Amino acid sequence: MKEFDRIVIGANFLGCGLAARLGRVKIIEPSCVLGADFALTFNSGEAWDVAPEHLEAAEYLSMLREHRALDDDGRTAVAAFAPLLAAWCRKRELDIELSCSVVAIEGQELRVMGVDGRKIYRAGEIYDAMPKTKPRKFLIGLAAGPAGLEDGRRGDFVFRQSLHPGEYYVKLECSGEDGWEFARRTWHQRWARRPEELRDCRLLLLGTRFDLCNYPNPVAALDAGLRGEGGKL
Amino acid sequence: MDKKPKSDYDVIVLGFGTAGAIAAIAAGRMGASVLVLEQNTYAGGTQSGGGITGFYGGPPPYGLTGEINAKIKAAVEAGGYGGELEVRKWILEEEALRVGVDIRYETTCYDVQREGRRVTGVRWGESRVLCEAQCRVLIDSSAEAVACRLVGCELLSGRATDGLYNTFTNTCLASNGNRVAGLNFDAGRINQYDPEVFSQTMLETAALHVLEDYSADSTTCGRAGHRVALSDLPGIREGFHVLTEEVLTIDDMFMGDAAQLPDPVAYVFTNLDTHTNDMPLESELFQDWMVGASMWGTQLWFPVIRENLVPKGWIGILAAARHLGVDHDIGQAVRMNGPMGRIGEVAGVLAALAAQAGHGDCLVVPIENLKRRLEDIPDRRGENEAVWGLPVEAIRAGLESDRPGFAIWSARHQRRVAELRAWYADAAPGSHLRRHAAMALALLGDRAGVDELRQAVIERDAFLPLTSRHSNHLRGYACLYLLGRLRDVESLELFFDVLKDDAIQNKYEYHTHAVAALIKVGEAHSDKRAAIAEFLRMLAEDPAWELRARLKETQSYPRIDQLFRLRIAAVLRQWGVPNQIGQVVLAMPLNAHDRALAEKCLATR
Repeated sequence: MKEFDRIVIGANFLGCGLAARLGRVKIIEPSCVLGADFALTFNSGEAWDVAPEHLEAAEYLSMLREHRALDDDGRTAVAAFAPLLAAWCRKRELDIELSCSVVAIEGQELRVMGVDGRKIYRAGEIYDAMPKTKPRKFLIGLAAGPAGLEDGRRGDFVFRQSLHPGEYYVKLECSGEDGWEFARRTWHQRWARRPEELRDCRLLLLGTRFDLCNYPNPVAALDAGLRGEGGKL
Repeated sequence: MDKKPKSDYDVIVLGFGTAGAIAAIAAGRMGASVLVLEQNTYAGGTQSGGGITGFYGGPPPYGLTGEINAKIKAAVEAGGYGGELEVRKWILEEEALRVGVDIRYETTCYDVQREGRRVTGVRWGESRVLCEAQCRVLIDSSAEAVACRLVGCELLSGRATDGLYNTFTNTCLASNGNRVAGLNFDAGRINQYDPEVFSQTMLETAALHVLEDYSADSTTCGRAGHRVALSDLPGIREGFHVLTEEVLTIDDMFMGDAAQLPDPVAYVFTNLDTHTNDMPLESELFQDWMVGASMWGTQLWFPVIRENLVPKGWIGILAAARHLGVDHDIGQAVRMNGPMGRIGEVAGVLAALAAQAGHGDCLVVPIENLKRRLEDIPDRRGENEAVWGLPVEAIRAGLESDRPGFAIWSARHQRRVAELRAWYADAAPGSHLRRHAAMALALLGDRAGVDELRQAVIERDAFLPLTSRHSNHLRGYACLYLLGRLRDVESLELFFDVLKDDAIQNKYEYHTHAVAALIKVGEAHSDKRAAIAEFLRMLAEDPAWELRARLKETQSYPRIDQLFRLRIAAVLRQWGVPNQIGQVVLAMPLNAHDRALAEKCLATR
């Protein structure tokens, strides 16, 4: 058994912000990607004009702008979210363990499965930064199509342009209870029946995590963590 | 809506990836009750989420993999999709659901239940609740041998010199506006079983995906386009292999035994696709093929037998993904999509037969039952003869050409020593025929051509054979490798001279092969060991000795290779020579992977 002062579950934007605030923290993340809540959902973010309260969140916002991953119209390149968050975390020397899943929580002890096998982590304080389930969620796809399609609803889907002309983040609403098989089947069936104006659009990818809409954009999630949001167990 | 899993299954498949998805569908089609446990949220693994869709040359995939691939192609051609990745996830999932497979996504395998040496079930975490189910056969398709490690199967780990694996990618998906696919490059090495090294390496190499301008298109890996997402699969090419009832080795392939293997259940057709550039740390037979004959791109038929899937001494468990029972060298071939799909199909059918027989013992399933169910096992053993069975006239013509690989290998395979010596004696010094004959002789352990080999090294012979479509090896350092292979003590000064030549073209290759040659000579000639050890110690303790590794598509990412310093340290330790190499390495800027190796080196002094 390994002991830590604090453990944060989830190296997403909220979790990384929270860990940077707390200090002396072990962060455990089930995936191998930082910021999965946005990077793996294809949630490209909205409400970018709301300034973060915390300077360190503002720093990440500046990184997005400096690397031309966010333009003045709020168009983004989701591909930038994780690598820039990794750079942000490395600068702060956060102790992050990737591909480490919590199997069960018993008091102050976590049964986890890491890349080296099963083990028990114990911490004085445990914070859960994983996204919270809600009555509705979104499965977001990345699609290519004719340039110039305006943002907005088209049939079952809500389109939003990415930074690249002719590339769109496409949202489909699901019930909070939908599993992956049902949601994926629904997406493909509705995509096959998409409106005529979208005939030339091609689905490239679907997100590999549901968007649970906990925060409007990654900077807001990071800012929330830096301000101390994130449930202490 | 969620459906609870049952408490008992014929077959549980751990991992819904390239092999596991096919295994689950195959077992389901056999009428077995099947549960899939997948840590991610989709089917297909590397072949979908990892962005690697192709079958890498050779004939189209056959069997169930071929059937499903045809459906995927048809769906893509029907329109509405930019590439296969998402279609593959969907079709694999639908095919599995159609035959009643229960799929549990976002699960973590936590324990494997067993009675003695028989596997009986699995415990897994799901939404932070521990669940369990019994099974007759567990198929471990996790690629990282997750279940096999939990149950305590014996494992094989990496290459013999330092235990390391092939390089990894840190996968990113990119779009050209029409189609999305994975960017397949090299990010260096990773240790995916050490949480600190794994995590730090993933974070360090995320820097490869930090761009100055994400709004611009660029050309990466030979393709124009832009990154759209990081993959949630790390892009690891190799890890543990399970010690199975039989392990297919490079010796089996190249020493003539593979053709005699009884009852293959799959053939895979591919090349030994290493991304390794530190070739002198690989096995000698592997280097014979890659460096001595420049055969990187040559495709071969590799037979797989049932016993390659059955962990040694265990009942009720199969290893069916890239961690199956092959050695490090062969693992670089059978890890491809086509082989993985076929191996998944074999595992699914075999597991279903064993489960339905009630015993779960895959080794007692009559092989004819298995082969009958697999229907179309093409027997292509004879095709390897085209690679190493050239007639003697063709061997001579090949040696005279700029594509000498097949001729060198045929001469070696057929042990044409007399002919090679005669051609060598008759040919003009420096000619293709004489030099290639000398190389073939060296592969046979024959010293008749050493003068020509030495001359090639002295000249820094810049001839690049055209045997492979790329990744050929310059004849100059190939001859240096062969002199080391011959433990040619008379070339000692030549090896020293190469290592003193800091301005040498292809310094990485010349210097690393020279180090390897010195070690071999030192091991074979104890009277020379002290002088060699002193030279190597001074070399490796000199911080100015810098080896810049070249990694595919990531030339801009600095990678100063420390593995040869550490190799020298390990050899000097064996020879009883004190040194400060570990401290020298630790004082240098290191990535997480190399730092861990250097610390281990110091700890084992």
